[in-house]
Amino acid sequence: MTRYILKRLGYSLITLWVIVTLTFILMHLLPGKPFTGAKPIPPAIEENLNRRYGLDQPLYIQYGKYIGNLLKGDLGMSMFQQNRSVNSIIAEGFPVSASLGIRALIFALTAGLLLGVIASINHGKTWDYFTMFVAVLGVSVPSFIIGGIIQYIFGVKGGIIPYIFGVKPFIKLPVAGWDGFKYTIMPSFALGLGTLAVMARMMRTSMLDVLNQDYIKTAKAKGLPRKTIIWRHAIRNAILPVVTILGPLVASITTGTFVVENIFGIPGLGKHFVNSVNQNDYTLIMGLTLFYAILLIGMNFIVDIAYGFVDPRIRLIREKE
Amino acid sequence: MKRTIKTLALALAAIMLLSVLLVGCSDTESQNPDQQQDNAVDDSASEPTYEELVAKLPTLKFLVDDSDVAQRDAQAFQEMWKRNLGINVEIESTTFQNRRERMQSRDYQIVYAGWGPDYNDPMTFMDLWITGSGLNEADYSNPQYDELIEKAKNSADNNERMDAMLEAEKILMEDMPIGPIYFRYRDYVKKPEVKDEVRRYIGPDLDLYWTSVDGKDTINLNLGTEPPQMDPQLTDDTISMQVINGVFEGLTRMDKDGKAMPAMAEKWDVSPDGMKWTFHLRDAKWSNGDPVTAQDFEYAWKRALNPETGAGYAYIMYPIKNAEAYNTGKITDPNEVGVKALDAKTLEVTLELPTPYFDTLTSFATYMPLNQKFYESVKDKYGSEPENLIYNGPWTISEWTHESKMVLKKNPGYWNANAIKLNTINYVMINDNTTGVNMFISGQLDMVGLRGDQRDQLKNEGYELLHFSDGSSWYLQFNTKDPIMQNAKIRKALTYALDRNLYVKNVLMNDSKPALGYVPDVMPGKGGPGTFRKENGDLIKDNNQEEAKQLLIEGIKELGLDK
Repeated sequence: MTRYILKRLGYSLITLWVIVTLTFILMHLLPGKPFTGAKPIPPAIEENLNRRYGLDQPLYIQYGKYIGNLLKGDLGMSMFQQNRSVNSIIAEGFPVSASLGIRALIFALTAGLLLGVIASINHGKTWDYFTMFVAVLGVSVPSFIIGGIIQYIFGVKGGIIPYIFGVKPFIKLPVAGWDGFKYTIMPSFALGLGTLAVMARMMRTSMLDVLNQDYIKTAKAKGLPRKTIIWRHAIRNAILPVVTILGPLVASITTGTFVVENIFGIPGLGKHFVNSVNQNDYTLIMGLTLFYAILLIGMNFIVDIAYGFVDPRIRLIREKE
Repeated sequence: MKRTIKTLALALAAIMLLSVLLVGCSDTESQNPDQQQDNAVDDSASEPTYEELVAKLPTLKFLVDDSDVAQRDAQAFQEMWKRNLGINVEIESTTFQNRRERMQSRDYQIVYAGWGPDYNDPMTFMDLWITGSGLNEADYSNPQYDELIEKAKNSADNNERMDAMLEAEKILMEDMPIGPIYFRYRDYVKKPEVKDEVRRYIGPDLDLYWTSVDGKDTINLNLGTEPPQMDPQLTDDTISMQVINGVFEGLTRMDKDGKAMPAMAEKWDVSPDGMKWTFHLRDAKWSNGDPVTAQDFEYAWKRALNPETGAGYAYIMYPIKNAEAYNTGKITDPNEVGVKALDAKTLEVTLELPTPYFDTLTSFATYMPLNQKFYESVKDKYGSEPENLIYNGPWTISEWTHESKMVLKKNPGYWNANAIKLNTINYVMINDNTTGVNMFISGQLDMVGLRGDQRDQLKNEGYELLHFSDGSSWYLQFNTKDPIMQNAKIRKALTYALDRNLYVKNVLMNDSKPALGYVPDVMPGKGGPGTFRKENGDLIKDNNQEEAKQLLIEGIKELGLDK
């Protein structure tokens, strides 16, 4: 096991180096400079700016400097928000995005898996159609539409929820911002709905597949109660594909999304992924790419290990190696 | 579901109707040249028709960035050129950065560009187009124009300066390296309790110095994004400048009408030739208790001009003696720059050229003072967090959550604190304007800016729509070194053929004004604020189709394309 982990770690480092180098080259191929704005800049001033950003030096020197700082754990200063370090931007943005992402993930996972299971055991009936309707809706309607609609209903108009549940009327959710629990409800929903839909569809398909297998028939023939068959035998097997996509999913959902953060004014990481490229904020592009790569590699690694616990067959194969 | 189908059907019907209309248009279009052809036949049988000549013009290329707004505008112009001149202009779409780079390397024919004023004088628009100016991306050159601008720059007499610039603008509109389209006005709404907000077209677009809110001493506003640079000498964006204007103060401050009023400087004297300005500072304190001194200004200005600092707005200090030479590395001794603290309370500034508006310049962010001792204790971190800043303005930053919100509190040590009515300014940083409007309607914001398509919604909610000029002028910019666009008549034809009223009303959908000259209507002239445009009148006619066609033909002939 230790050897396996070390080997994985080695490969990961090589992957990271390739990612860093490729991103560095591609990024500098993009037209524009970090200080390119709508207004043209007088050439003399542009020269001064180039010098200040260290962009007047040849690319290989810039690359060497960057790698040197990187090995010290320093991602450099942002080139657009010039007096903030990339480390601090990530350190401030990631907890916000992660907190929102985890809420959305919990919502998506519980509701999505539940809907998937319900649909599969009611295959071809009303519940199945209902679930699939929700799933199609979730997959096909983009989050900025969902976000915009719920923002209007619950934020501007003051909510339908109170009437449905009969609680104190006129509970209004704040339209946007990041200042406590009530600010997280709408964005979590908007962010989680797409994932929920994917989960529900995946779980349904997987469950239907498993339910048709011989060992389930055997279990039925043995006279096991339906509940036990589903909980102990069907779900455990059906959930495997879901676990597989969980790695990349966690990495992507906890680093935020541009659209949801933009609509709900959330100070997360997601918008930086888009803005840094638009603004040619070289150091921030590098920092985010690296951070995301590490997160993704890490998550996949955890998932691989978790596999063994969920599915004993995989552990057996690995030990034989 | 039914509604969606209905909407879809409606949309389909609308598209069909539109296409029928368009076909109809081109039918009438082709009738006109037919008539012309008849006339031509009468005169001489060999004369080629309008259409034949226009067909000889190579397809013109219009370089635009890939944003929705830019695409929308380009398509509107493309359509008008097709309808009014019968020519096809191809839209070349690229990224924002790539478009800028191609403009810089003059790899374009036509772009749609704009310029916003850096200071309140027509010169901020006029000196863009002098020969060899780094900002002159049309590569326009006319010695007569250069001479007039030079004359205006070297004159301390307002009438003489303005006359030279009025004359220069006429030349510019005759040569037409740029074709005016519109002067931008922006819409906003506010809660009725908000009083005396001042909207500006120089620097920050909102000034809260005189603002009050009935029944409370707090105002909630949307800043739009995180202020990218709170170091006054380095900043070059209006978001940061809005906060800087609240928490810092220069020698002067702009009053409600955009004129300079005493701020850190109690009064100032100007030498008769306008070349030496002496500012007398009042007793004022930084928020850490240090006095604000003339040395703070000298230090700050020299820092902004130091090429090592790399300040993007350093050029706004170029009226100062030797400022440009020092900033561009032609001289290396900062002591040659014409700014000197005679004592703690007196700052003497020697200018390179007489600059009658120098007092308003000193209210600009780049001119704000800097406490050397404090700066050296924080260095590069200056401006990154509230604790890495000290203030001398009406408010201080009490809370700053990056990318999320910023709270300004009244500065009790500010010299004129009694005049400031707002105790707290809460800024949120919401980038999405739909969200901003939703927050305004639900009461989370007291004021919000609007896009054209949001006007009706707010009007229906019962709010009064307000607007202000942001001072910018928008125009077609032609590459005058391009083989086709070098011809002034073709440039004029393209400019004259556009229907600005239609564009402002149906595409921009706001209170912007069609531009029939280059310098915006808010710029001062001989007669004071907002008179320049009136003094020069309309220099082009809107939607002048006949003359445009005539010029296009002449242009094509001049270029020898008809052969």
